[in-house]
Amino acid sequence: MNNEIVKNFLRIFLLSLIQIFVLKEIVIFGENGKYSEILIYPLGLILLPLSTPRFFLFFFAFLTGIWIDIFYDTLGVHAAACLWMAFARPYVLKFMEPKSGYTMNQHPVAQELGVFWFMQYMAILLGIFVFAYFSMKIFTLVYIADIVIRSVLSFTISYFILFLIQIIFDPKS
Amino acid sequence: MLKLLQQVIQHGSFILFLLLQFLCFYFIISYNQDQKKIYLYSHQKLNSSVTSRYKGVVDYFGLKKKNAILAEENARLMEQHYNSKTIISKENIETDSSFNALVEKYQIIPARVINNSINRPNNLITINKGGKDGILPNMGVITTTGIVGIVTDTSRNFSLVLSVLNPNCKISSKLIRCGFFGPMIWDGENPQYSTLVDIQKYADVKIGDTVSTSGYSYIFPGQVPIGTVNEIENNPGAFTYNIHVKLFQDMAILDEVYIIKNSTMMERSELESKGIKYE
Repeated sequence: MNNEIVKNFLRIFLLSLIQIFVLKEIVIFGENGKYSEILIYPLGLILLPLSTPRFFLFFFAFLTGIWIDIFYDTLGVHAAACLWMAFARPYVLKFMEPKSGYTMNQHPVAQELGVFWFMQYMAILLGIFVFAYFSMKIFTLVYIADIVIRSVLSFTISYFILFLIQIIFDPKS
Repeated sequence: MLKLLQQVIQHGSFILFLLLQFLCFYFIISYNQDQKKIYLYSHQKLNSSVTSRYKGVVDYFGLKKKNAILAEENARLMEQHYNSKTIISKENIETDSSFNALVEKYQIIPARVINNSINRPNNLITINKGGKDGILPNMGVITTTGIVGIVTDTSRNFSLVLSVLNPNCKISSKLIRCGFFGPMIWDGENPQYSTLVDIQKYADVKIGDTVSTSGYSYIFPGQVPIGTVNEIENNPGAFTYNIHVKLFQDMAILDEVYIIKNSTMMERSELESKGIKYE
């Protein structure tokens, strides 16, 4: 169990380092990457074990968000998005529960619950995260169209990259 | 208390979520310039809309009092307006105290209509001020737009007003442009119109001319607007026109009225009553 915590912590730390030092600088759509941001660090939160207590989940999400925010210079924006995602996670899991149910110490990964299941699961959570992130970033419903466009573009790119990561690296190791 | 504690433990994670979300919100609006501006703008907008709506509701409670205050103020302004026409110059008054006493001074008393009729042959109005407010018969009643009638009787708290829509009510009126004057009497037909009689046929009357009080009676001061000339009735064989006047004041919607008290009323009526034997 102790090993598990360290592993998850290290994974989030690594992902956040990639996020901060590499992906933050990458520009794909629009001037200065106005329309898309590649956001991969939520994977760390998505992959937390199923048995993670909610209390811990929220706290972890908040700290991760603030940690990223410090480097993005947007204090509170990432944290709020992470929190929304963490809040939705148990409900998404419950909604997507297989007929046989979850077993103890299971991880929400493709290797354990199937590629199709994982794709859906990640899509929902990433979608929530990205939408919450841009809502908090733009902060006004006046630009709701802007929020949606940015969310869709960012979601597409991030999702693609996350899926590759998931396929290439076995997160269990 | 125990139950509350249980609830807190049960929903602890949710409370934590709310707390952290709140903290995030606080961070967002205090450390991010764009979001801060948006927040302040929305906050201000919401705040002002809420306060204005609240004020809109609360204003209704004070409306009655406010109305009374405005009526008082109107009366005061009218007083100033009508008195300024009677005082010739200030120096005269200050140097000659006897002159001061002779000058007509108007006092205006605000009142409200509590009973009104327009469709009877003889229309009367009741107002909510009476003898205890200093109202006497033969005082003029006006509104801010036109004239209403003449007080005929008073009780302690109420007064009866002879409406202009009453054939017994004769108002000394004048055509402002050409200066001809004559009594205005209602013909008993349309409550929006009254008739100005005894205007000589050589008078240069045009449709649209304004009619006001003449100022020759002690009931009304001069220049109180009454209406406009609507139709000039030319009776062949008569020496005078009958002029139909459209009243400025719609008598159907009377509410706030003002009673004119002339300080020289008693003296003038006494004097003028002596002239009756020569008529």
